[in-house]
Amino acid sequence: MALFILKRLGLGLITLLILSAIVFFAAQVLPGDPARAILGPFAQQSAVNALSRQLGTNRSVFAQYGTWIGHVVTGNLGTSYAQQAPIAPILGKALVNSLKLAALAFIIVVPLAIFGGVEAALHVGKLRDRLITIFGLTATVIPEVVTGIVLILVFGLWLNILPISATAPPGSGIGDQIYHLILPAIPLVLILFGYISQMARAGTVEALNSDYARTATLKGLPRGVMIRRHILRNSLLPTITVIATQTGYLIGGLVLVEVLFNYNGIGKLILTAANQKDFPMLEACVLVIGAVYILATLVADVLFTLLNPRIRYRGVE
Amino acid sequence: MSVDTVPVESAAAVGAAGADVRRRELLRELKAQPAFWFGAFILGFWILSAIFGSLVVQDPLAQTLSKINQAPSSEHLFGTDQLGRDVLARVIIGARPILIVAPLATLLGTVAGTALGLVMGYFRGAVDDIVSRFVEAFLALPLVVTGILLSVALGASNTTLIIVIGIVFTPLIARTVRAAVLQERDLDYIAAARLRGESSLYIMFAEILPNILAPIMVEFTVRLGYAVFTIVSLSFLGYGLQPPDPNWGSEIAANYQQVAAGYWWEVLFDALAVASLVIGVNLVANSIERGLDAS
Amino acid sequence: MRDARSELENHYIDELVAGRLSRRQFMRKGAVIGMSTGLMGAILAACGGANKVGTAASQTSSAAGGGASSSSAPATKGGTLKLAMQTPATAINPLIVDDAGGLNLLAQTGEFLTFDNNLLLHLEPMLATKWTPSKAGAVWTFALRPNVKFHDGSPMTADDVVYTFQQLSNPKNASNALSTFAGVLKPEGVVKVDANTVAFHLEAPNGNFPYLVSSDNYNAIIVPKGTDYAKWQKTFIGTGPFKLKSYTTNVGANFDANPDYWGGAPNLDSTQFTFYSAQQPQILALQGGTVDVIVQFVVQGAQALLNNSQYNIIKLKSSNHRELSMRNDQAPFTDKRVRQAIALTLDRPGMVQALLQGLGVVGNDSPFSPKFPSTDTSVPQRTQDLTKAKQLLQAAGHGSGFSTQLVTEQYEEVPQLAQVIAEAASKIGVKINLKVENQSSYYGKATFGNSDWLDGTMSLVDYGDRGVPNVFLDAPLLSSGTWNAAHFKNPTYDNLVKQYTAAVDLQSQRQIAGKIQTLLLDETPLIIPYFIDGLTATTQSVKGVNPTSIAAIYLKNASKSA
Repeated sequence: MALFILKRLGLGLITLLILSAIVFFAAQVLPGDPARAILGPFAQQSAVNALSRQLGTNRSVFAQYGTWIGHVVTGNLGTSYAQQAPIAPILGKALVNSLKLAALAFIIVVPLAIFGGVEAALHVGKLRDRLITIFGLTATVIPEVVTGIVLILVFGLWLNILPISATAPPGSGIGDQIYHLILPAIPLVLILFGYISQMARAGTVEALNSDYARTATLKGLPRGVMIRRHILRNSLLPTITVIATQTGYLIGGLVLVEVLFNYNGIGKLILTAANQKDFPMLEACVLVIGAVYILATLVADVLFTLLNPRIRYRGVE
Repeated sequence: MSVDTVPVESAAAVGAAGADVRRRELLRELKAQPAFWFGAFILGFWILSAIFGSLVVQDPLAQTLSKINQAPSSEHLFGTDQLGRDVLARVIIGARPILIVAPLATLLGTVAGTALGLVMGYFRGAVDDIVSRFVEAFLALPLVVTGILLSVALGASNTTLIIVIGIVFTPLIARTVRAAVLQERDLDYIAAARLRGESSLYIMFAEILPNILAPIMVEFTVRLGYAVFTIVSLSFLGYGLQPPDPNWGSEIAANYQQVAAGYWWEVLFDALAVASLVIGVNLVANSIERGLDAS
Repeated sequence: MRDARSELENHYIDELVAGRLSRRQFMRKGAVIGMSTGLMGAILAACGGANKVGTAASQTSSAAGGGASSSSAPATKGGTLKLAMQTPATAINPLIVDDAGGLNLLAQTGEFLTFDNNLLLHLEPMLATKWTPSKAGAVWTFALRPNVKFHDGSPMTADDVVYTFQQLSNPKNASNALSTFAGVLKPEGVVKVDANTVAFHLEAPNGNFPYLVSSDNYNAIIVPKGTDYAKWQKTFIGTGPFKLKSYTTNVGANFDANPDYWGGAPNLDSTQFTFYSAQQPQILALQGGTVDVIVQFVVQGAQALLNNSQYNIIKLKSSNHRELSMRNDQAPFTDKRVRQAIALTLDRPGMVQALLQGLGVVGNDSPFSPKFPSTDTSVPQRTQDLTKAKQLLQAAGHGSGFSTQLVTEQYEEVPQLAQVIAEAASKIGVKINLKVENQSSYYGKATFGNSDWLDGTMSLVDYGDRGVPNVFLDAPLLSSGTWNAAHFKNPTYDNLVKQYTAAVDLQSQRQIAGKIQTLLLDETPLIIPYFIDGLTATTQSVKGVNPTSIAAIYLKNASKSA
């Protein structure tokens, strides 16, 4: 197992390296150049040239990439072109903000989706199952922008009960912060609900059909007790793994939610960095997101393997 | 759908005939599902709107600067926007670009993803390992971010949007196809084809492909919903289609700032249109998936 | 009173008496040539009822950066003012800053030689108390305010001013002020006369030079000699009424009152700026009471604030505008009749109503905003005339119309304006296809051949407010202009602009302006449909804020009642 994890981590590092190279070189096709983006369209070309020399962006792409990667391996994320400040603290703050939002979404969605999934599984093929399944699948593909707009209109403007800006005033306590994050979390909840409830449903169906469950039913164990004691535990396994794999999606979804609700998270940071051609910032964001995705996938696979002995070492590649 | 029982010599031919039978069974399954009919109705509505909408509604481009931001009334059922254009007309005609871009983009992604997945799954080994790293790297990047990088690099247009979404979908579909190929490649009929000395290209596309069409079809329908999702999201961020021709994502982006002023009709109907289209596509996709499972 | 006045000063007094100069404009022009506010007040009083226009101009504030003079009651002392502003796009480096967010932060702790008071539309002393041109206007001498201290306690002297302007005008530096100083000022032209006097030896005579060292040129805050500009954002060191408490990238900035300020301590104890990347949350924050002030907003989506008695809306006349350039070197726009025809299709008053909710004025296809005193208002206004437009198109051989592309940026109401223009042009058979890009794609490298902005057949761009039209007249329209998206090359025009720049007195400035306006109206290298008012919103409890049209806000005299 340890060997497996090591191998996966190694592959993960290679993936990150490829990712950073793809983004770095792909970003070169973006119009304009960093110094021009910082100084604005109306700056004199001589000023732009001077800034390019200061930033080192007048060098070849390979030299720039080399410098950047050299810093990264020594644990230095570098300096933002646009902000002329170390990236780590800026990125750190944004990441924490995004994680707060993601955490709230998970806290809301996990119990709901597991309940929904189990409920559907207990009524397989019936109307209730069909409704939950279709609701889940549908919610999963409605863009966050669309749900976000409807939520803003209904709860923010018509009922006026929830703030439509995700950022709490400076110095707010945790309660106030959560209050501001409720609306932005809902589009994420809707999208995740489909995935997680489907997994919970599948896990439960499988558990219900297992020999163990049949024996327990034959022995006259009350249904409620059986569900709580055994089925739920078994159905949780695949659910945990799907939660881990959805972390990757979540970060992508955050870009839109953060823009819509004006929230200073990593999604908005990466968008700004791409627009400003702030390569070090863009790369740092991409690396962090990539690392989170790869780690989450690894954790998902490890959990899946550990908790489900039947497919140990087989289902993972 | 057990391939083992089919005589190996004519796997391809029988595969095609089998597909025919399956298609008939699938249709029968679908007809029995109310969800399918509901989804098809919504889809049909938007397709008809896109084609014939202009016969019914006002000119979606006609501006009346003296009548901007007007609330819904009998004259303008969905109100007017910030240039005094009829919102109803813009919602109806706004179906057009999405219904053109989404299927084409999904098709592109499916074709490219299938080809890539076939190669990865069939050759395995070094080819698979290397391509897999790239696919992984691609998937580690948020879809919207990839979309933005590509859109900015290629310049905004319908064609760009098709290419961008096609590229973004390719690795996703490739992963599914690869998994399907891995299940097929060790079966007897493939071994037989190899013994006959068929080329790899022939085996991949003439032998394996017909037998993995079902998962590819499911993938296509599911991705169709995501294509709408992606178009709307990219348009909202300003990387979508060009004005003044209406499309739902750009309408939401252009009028979103008006919400605080109370002009809710300028975004709500577009948002509901997106939601309904996506629901329609999804109901149909889900019904097909169930139908395939059952048949 | 007149005997002691210079020739130029007497000229302005004559203009005032003759009624060619309103009181407001007199204050403005007088200030440019360094007449003191007190003197101008005395002259205005002496002129008595000669000119009743703009009496508000006589209520000048005594300290530079003074607030709106509307309140006569004593201001409330103490408190923290909370403001919503645009997130600065880049590091707060005075050399580099080029965006609304960044320049407003510079203005919080930094000060300029002169202050362009946008409320009163005149130039005021700030760190300079007096300035005088040489006869031809090629050398300007500034007397510095004595006993001014930087926030670290060190005195502000001529050495600091010389250092500041040498850095700003050095072509080897990444300085944004170069777009103002190129061809005007070189580092060696900045000369220390004595500890409290600095002379600027210009490359060519320039009648409006005091505006180029004013708060208009937002990079030009005076910093201590030897300042490392890249590290400035750690201290925000300046001479202003507030000093830095904390600055957090992308989040906000807090400032405390400077008790040692040369103009006396400000009313407020502190100010707190929160950064927003969009306007809508700023409006909601004001409505929700989270902030007291929105430093600057645009009218789209802000309609709820406009007619609400809970809020004070400060409207500033501005030269902020949009320019639609047509490639004068590319068919069909090589023919000026085609360019005129497009310009004639626009319903300008309708556009101001619809796109700006009436908060702006119509433009006449030249950058001379009605805001500038030198603008010749007798040049006839172009109005919509579709018949004439069709005739012109016919005469140019395009009677059946043509098809072309307009490229523009996603910025404020610009995409909507592009759609209105396309719709208007379609009425004379011209089909305009739009290409709306995000700003980085649109501007590209901002050099010819590498920029949709400069290369597009039709290109629609935004220009922010300036105190004087010089910048608008130069780079976007001169034959050698680096922002000449219209590719307009006209020697007569070039020569007129040279004369205009050199002209020191208003009479000749206005005379040349009239010629330039007439020439541009005839040639129509570009279309300027309107000028947009600068808008600031505060709650009713806030008094004395002094915003500018470039989105900086001066808070020395601001106060907030409980």
